[in-house]
Amino acid sequence: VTLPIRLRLNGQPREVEVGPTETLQSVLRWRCGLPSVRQSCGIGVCGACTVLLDSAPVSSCLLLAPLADGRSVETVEGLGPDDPVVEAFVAQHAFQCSYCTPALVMATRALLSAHPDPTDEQIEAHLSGNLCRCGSYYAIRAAVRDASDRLGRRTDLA
Amino acid sequence: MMGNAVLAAAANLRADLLTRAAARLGADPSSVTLVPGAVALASRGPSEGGAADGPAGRAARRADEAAGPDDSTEGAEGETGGSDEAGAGGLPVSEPSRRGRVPEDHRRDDTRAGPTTGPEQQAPTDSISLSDLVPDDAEELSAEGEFRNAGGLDPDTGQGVASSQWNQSAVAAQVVVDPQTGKVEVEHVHAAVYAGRVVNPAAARLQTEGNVVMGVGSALFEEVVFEEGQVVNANLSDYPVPSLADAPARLTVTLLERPGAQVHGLGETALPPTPAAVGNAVAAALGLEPNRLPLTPERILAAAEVAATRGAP
Repeated sequence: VTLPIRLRLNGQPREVEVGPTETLQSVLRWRCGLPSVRQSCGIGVCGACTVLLDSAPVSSCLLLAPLADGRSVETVEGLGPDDPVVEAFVAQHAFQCSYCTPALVMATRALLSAHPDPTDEQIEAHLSGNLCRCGSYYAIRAAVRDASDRLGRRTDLA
Repeated sequence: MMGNAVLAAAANLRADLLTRAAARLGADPSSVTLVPGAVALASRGPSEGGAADGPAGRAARRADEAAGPDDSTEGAEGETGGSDEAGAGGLPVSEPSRRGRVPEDHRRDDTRAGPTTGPEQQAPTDSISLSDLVPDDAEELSAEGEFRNAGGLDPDTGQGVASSQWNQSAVAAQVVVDPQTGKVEVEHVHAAVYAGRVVNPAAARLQTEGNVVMGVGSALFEEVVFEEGQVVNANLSDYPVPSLADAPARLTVTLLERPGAQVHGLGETALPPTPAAVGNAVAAALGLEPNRLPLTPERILAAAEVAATRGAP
């Protein structure tokens, strides 16, 4: 049994047939062809499946896809190569194996929309739910600061 | 084996401090000793205790087992440093496995936890604080030590570690332990890695930082739990790994290079000594040695209880 849901997926309208108990992570990765949406723990602890749902970060492994019907979903595939957060992560070499990186980029975007110039405590509070087993946390912190600077210099991005 | 180099560095640092302090106190260097945060006339120093085989020793042995012959032409130079409030030098020492214990003066005296974290110590009057010994413009104390061995496989047995390039590292950690809760906060870790010739400094540094973060996880909370032969904490809900909030507040890295050296691997070089460094720092802070990793609050409180029971008349 499947049912159709409509998403605004990375800015484009998208209709997709989903199973009633299917997670958003599964739909995005396997039905919508977005390989950045990764499942690791499957219980909402590691943060590797983080996407933005109506601009808020969610663990897509915990969200039943039908509940996303009619809402906006953003993944790292929707960001251009000149995205300031992506640029900052590359510039600061804020990854090793990069498994956690797409989710961290999305979580960082959410952090910076809430706190354009975040304190260490705000960075910790927002990003501690995204585990990096390579332990690149110091570079990630630097990337968040760098992204904050880049966003501050850009006027074309709200 | 960098542990030997760290021990040598610690001994050098200790001797330097004692000499400086003795000169200031107008005493003979042999008559002064290090106490927490200060150098005092030896007769006023606290008695030294400590079990022989704590987690740091175990971890040190593990690091030691991982240690092996140098490639004989590559340096085995080490360095360690710490402020006057440093917790302890992390040391993949070879001494514990050979002699069963680390010399007390290395284990307890060279670096010490801050006054709030250790057992109550009355500062002797005939003493000089470490901060008075260090020049005002010096941010840190540092020392160097060196160890060389013949390298290669044992000619008699043909045994040894089959590593084409021996990887060497040394780690020092500074911790704060809450004696009420047993919670350990790692404030500063310094990792020194012998890297031969570094090709990609940013990646080498990043990987070494990752080593320390992972090592802090295994020191403080990572543990696979078995019950009746089954792993019972098979997902991240029950097996915490370090998050951004768990990374030490300060992490410094030295990549040691040598002109003309080969390019060495840097996979997990600084990982094994990290739990040893954290364990030594905790042991120094509490004056006791929790004997199991990870150093959870429960285990630290239990170790403190055992030590208190033993200390009772």
